[in-house]
Amino acid sequence: MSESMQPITEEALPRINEFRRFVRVLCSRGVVSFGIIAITAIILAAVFAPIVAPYDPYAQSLDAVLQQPNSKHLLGTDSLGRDTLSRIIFGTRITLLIGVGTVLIAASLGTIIGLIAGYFGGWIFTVIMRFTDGIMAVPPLLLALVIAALLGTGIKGVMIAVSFALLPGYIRLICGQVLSVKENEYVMAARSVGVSKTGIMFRHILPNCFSPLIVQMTMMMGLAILIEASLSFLGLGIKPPSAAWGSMVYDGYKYLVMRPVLSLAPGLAIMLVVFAFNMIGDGLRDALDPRLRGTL
Amino acid sequence: MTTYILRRLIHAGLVILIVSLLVFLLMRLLPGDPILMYVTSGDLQAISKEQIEHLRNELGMDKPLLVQYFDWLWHAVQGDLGKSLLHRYNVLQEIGRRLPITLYLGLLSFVIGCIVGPFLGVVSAVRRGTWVDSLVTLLANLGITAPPFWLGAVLIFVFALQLGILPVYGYTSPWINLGRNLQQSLMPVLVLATFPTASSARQTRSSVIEVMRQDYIRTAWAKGLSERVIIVRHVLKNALMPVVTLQGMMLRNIIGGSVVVETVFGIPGMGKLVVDGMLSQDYPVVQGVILIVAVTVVLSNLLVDVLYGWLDPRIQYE
Repeated sequence: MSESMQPITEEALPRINEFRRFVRVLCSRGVVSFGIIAITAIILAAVFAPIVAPYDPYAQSLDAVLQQPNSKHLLGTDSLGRDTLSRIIFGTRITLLIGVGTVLIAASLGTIIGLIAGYFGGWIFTVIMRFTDGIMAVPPLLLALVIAALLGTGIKGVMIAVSFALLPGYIRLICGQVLSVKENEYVMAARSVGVSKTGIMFRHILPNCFSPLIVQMTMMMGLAILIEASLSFLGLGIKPPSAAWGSMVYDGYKYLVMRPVLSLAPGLAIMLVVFAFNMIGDGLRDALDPRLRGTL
Repeated sequence: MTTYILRRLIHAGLVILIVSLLVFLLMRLLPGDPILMYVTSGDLQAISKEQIEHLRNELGMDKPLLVQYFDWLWHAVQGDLGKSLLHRYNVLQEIGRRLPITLYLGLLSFVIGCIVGPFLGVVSAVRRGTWVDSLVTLLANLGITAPPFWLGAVLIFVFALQLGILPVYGYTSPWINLGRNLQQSLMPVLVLATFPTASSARQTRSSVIEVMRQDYIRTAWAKGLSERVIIVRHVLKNALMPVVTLQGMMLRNIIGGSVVVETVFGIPGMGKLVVDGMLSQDYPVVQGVILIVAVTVVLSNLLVDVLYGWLDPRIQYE
């Protein structure tokens, strides 16, 4: 292509600042902006928990158990006299760690496996996809339950368990994307100029799978948090005294008649985070895929 | 068509085989010696080391893992899922006793999800931009975010503890006392149905909006057809396809949700069985339940795929 042709085509197209368009679409709906603000606030609460929280979340005071919400303890105290609000604030750390951590683990592993299955095809594809089908036949919560029991309760065990439960979704997504992307001419072009298989997979195919991947990752953060909370609620997740929201709901459950706030408040916190992540996911989908704009 | 179903059946069998192997290996990797669980549930003091080894041999636990797996699988195919280590009951019989309870609640929720969800989705899409749309969208978004165990706690708090109109927990067979059964099932079914209803409402709304933009819908309007005819005959038929796909996954999620819901409401179903089995490392029970769940899920997916072809004549089965 000659040098002189460049400016003409450039000028013929109206200049669009892609990033600004992206931000405008993303923030065009109130709920999406709400999600972004909520998640920012939660991240700040997690980072500055020791400053924001009025009390030490583990400090028991046995002369102030099961207090009603009052001016000293805005959400009351639990059966060991610990401040509920402080425990919820510190709980953001576990929640975000699980939500972000498991999604990163599952997405990176799933992407690599999905890329391999989709790109190589043949028996590799068949073996990987049959295993994925197998994992998908078991409800994610049930699967996470078995693995969490296997690895023992604790953050590490729960993270691996939840990641494993999320994994097949990513393998399927990426594999499907790769199957359609690899038919494009630029992949053929790359192959014919002798780019290596890994080069093609990571430099030419992967970047074209990013937008659905990012949407899926945001949506899955909510699911990951819900699975962790359910595991903790069932007693196979993060064990007390750690301030995990799921186990807080369970602890408060015993005092539902007397102090409903102990169960209801951490549950509302879970809902808020999951809702916020889902809304951001919706917003990202709209912003990244103009065809779907405004339908969800 | 027959060859397609046959091929899918073979595929389903393969998937179930993979699940069984996966679960078997996972359960055997669990920390702790299952034989001790077996012994401690009886009388540990009276038993010697030799007796433990004898027992291990008797239960086949001294054989290599793969041999144990094929033993278990061979028995499972013949309808013998082994015995509970802790309570010594026959696993298949116990599942047979509890599966109907889980399926009863699950199917009720599934039906609600299949009817109410798409209905709300259509209404919301047709009245796009109005307060009805905003309300449905908000409720649907809240519905997919509410943790089931928490929703259960809220319902118990409001309807059982504050208003006192529904029992807190428990389960009575509909054959014994239908009225009591309906009272007790109302809250669990509501919790189980929330997610399917909300997500199919969302999915329906977006696919109806997508279809309403098509040229043939504009043509239908131009022909002067009534709104009802356009929605029912032209929009719904085309918009429901992605919703049907979603329903395949839905049953799986309902069974997953029953794990939590049955624990919250003290319902003696499969979910409660698997949680108790997990907490006490009673692996024949967990293996058995997961196998049955996987079979249920795989078969229902098969059903959805066949249904798909019936709904959409464009799909050709090779």
